[in-house]
Amino acid sequence: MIRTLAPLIPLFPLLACLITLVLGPKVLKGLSHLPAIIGIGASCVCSWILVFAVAASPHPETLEIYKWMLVGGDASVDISISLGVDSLSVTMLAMLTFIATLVAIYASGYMHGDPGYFRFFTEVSLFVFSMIMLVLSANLIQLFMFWEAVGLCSYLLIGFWYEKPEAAAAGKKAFLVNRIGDFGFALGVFLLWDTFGSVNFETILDPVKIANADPAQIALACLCLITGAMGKSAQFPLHVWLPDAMEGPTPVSALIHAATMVTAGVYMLTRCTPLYMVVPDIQLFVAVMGGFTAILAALIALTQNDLKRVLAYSTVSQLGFMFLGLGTGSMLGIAGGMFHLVTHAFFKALLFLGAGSVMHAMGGVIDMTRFSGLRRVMPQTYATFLVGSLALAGMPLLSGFWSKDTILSAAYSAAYEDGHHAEPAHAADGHGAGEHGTGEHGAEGHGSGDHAASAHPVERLSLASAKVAEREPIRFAGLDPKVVYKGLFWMAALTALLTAFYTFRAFFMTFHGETKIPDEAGHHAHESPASMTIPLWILSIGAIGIGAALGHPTGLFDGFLDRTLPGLSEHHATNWFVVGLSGVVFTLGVGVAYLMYGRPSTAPATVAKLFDSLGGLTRASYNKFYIDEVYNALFVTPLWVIAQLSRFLDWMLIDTILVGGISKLPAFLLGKPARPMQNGLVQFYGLAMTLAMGVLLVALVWQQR
Amino acid sequence: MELSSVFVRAVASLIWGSLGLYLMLPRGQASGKLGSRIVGGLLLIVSMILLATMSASGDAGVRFIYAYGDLGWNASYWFLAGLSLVSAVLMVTSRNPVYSALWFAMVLMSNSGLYLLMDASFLAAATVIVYAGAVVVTFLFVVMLAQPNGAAAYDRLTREPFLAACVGGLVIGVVLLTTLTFSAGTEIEAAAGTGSRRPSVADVARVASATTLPTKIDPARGHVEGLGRSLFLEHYMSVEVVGVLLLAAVVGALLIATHRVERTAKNAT
Amino acid sequence: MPEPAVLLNNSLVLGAILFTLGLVGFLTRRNLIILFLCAELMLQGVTMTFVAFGKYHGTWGGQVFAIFSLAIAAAEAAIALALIVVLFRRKESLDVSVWQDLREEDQPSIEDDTGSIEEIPEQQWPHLFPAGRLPAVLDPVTNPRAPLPLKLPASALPGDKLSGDKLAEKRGAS
Repeated sequence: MIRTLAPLIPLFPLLACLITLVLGPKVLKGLSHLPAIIGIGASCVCSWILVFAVAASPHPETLEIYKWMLVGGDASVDISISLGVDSLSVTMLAMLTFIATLVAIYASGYMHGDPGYFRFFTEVSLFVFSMIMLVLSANLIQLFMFWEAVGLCSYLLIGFWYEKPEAAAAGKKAFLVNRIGDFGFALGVFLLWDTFGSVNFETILDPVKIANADPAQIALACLCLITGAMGKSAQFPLHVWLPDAMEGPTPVSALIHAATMVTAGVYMLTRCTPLYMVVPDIQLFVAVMGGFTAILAALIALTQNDLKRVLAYSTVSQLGFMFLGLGTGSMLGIAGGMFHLVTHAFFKALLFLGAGSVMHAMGGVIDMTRFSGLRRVMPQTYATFLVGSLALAGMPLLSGFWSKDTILSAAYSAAYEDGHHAEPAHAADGHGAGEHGTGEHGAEGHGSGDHAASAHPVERLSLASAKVAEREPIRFAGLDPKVVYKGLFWMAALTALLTAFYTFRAFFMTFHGETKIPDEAGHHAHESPASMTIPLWILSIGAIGIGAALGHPTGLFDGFLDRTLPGLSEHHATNWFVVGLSGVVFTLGVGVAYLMYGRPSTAPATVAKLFDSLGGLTRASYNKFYIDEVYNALFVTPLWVIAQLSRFLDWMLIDTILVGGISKLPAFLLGKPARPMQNGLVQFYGLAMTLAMGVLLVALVWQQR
Repeated sequence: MELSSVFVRAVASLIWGSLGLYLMLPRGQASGKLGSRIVGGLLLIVSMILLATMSASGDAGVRFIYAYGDLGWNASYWFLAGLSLVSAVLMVTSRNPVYSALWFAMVLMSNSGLYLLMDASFLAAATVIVYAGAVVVTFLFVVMLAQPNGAAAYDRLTREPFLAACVGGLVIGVVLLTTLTFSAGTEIEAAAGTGSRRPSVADVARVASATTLPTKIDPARGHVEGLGRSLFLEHYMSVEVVGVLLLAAVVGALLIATHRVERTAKNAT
Repeated sequence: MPEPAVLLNNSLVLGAILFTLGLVGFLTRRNLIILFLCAELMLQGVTMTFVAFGKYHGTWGGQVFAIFSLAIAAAEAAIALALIVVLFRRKESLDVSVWQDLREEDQPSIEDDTGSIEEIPEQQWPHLFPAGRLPAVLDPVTNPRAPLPLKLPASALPGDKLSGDKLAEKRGAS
């Protein structure tokens, strides 16, 4: 069952891509969306069946499609294109293909009439294929390859309207910024190769091998991998490309830059959990980066007037949340990060598609100051956008609440509960035990028994765990991690408050107040077609229900992922303090937003006055804290100067003096006198040949004498 | 035999020959003036005789002329060689391309006779059929096609005839020097150890049997059979290559001659 | 006593002279067709050398090579003649001096001194004179429907020595 279905999942989008590519421009034209929708839809159906197949089967499976390299005397370097099917990857697959299908349906309405219609669906299909292959990778090289492939698709789709200079520049920026991260990722792969002699997850995630390896090297490798994840998942300082990526078509923003591709970094780190569980310091680093990015992006999002940009910064912020979850160093945090990834995909895709719907109706205008009160014009978009906003803001019982709550709980326990830093050793043990005794993990909720056993690590896996447990954790600047986690917890809480505020600021500015429609809208100013609203409704259902259905109340999600990352479904008591804090924060944020933007009586002047009173901070937030400018001054300008200098030197020294001079000298000394020999007359050439022959003959005779 | 005598005769022959050729070549005059051509022709004949008897003096001269075979053979050889050279000179110097082609046919005929004398009967037949029968006729066709009005002005003009004749003399001098240096039997002498004595047939046969040259001519076999064996057993790859070359030439000729007729017609003006 | 080396010598000299004559012709002559004939003559000189060596060594190699050179000469002739036809179509001339376009850009074109070329007077070809007078059916003077004589030289016409053109005029007038 698994072995049959798994290859079909990447195959359908690939076929769709090829069909659209070949037949699109001449045959399909306006029907180019059909192969993509059918292909990705079929892939989605297969993925969902696969979820149940994996749930029923106890073992993870790896299908080798193609043996790529077999290098070394003992064939130690064994790289293949293979499909690794386990609960983690099929979870990603189900989420990815489901949202991709909805986005493709939505795009068939949104992109209607675009001259690049077929190109759009070719690239989307290629993206879905690459992402599926990335998720299914069973080794780091394949992961890296498709990591680059999704980067390429992202570049192509950001620059989809390449006639627009901003779009071309944004595509370039995304590509270049990602290169920095990918460089780190490649270094990490090499380091792991050096450490383990292999790049297969099976080997490098083996807890016994990890425990025997040099911890400094693993720490360095993890740091490199995290650099890659930071590039792809837009974490500070490599987050600058994501907001600019909104120049692409909105479905692309929804699919790639909110729901799926940007989560690849989170996915990769989750996949490598056993690795960085043994280096708590690196986890702390991840948490700090994530927490900082979350609050930085939330602060920027406060003042942006571009609806899509608000959502983009919100994405950066939520990704920061996920990193924070991964960085708490507990299985609870990892579960929270992964779960937030899934729920976020639903409601962020919903919000982006809603924003796209607004943009579609407003004739391409996305500046929130130019329209308002759209709830009467676009009731369906209004309703669905409200659902998405509530979910993002973390309204209790909606999906965003559950996942965010889990992350906050993890941060809280890292900050305030004792014995936290013994956890990595536990986790590694639990994992090792899980690897060897997968059969015991039959159904959900069985993990506890296993973990009871792993409470005695020395008995179960003496050597490996002893080494890890003995190790003295390195401290960042002599800081106690607990202090740092305390700071991070409160930062995260503040971020949640800000999130609720800016989400509803955007919501109120767009849909409440007087009805104001920009001139560009023309006759477009009405509800979007069914092909666009139906995906919105479906995503709304997901945004409302998925958290409660899979999350804390049922434990389905944790239980399912527990097969891959044992220990994930460890039962945690509900942290009522955090739940209460979430509720308060949500109410506060939404309330303030309502007071400032939602009340009909609040004049915009009041708001402006309030912002003015904050002065420099507002301006800094509005200008994205001048990060782009700083980068320009620090990197771009010096590089530009160096490039100009090199260009001048190349022109003067190499082109003119060396190459030009040396090549012109023989031309002048020898070529010029010889030019008359080329007089174009056949007979003259014959004469030259004759004379040469005569000379040769004389030389020959002379030699024989 | 004294080398200086040979040298003097050879140089004289070359000088007379070059001068004669110069006089024969068209230099703008219409064919009316026969004087210079006659003088040139006489000079050339003198030069050829000088050349033929270059290394001949006394007894050796007789041996030189009566080199091989019986009297009939020798008479035929010298006649055909003379005819070939005269025809070649006339071909080169003729003012009308049609005449040139016909004189070339004459050269081919006499060369065929020479091949026949040298036991290359198949080649003789092939030369007559392929060259004289096909190539020269095709040339004539093209001449008729391109110059239906007969002699053109540029046929009466040659480029630097004096210089070219001198170069010709020099080249033939060099070629003769080479030929004589090597064909005086140095190779055979060295191999046969005959010293300064000219190698005999037996010497040649001995050396030839010791070398790794291709198949000997076996008198017991038929001529064409032997040639065929040599061609298709030893040189089969070359035969294939030449066959492909001929095919390519045919295709190329078709392509070149039939391509873009309308455009060339437009460009013709 | 027959001496193969002497025969070889003689034939080599003959081949060398043929080759050189072809060379001189190639260098001096202007007509493309004669140029190619001269090239063929050079090939003949080489073929003679091959045959002579083959005879001298008593092997088939010489003749085999001669046959190959024959084949190559045939191929060359085919291509060359096709090229000549194309070139002639382009410039209506077989003069090799017309084609100097592949010279260096700053080199002057080489022009011949055409002043020394003598004009060949219009050649008078001999004609058969008709015996007696034309039959009445063919006589254009008496029979208006008689076929017009084409460009007959004046001397060929009977009686009043009218040319064909004049006859036509006369008939049109009457």
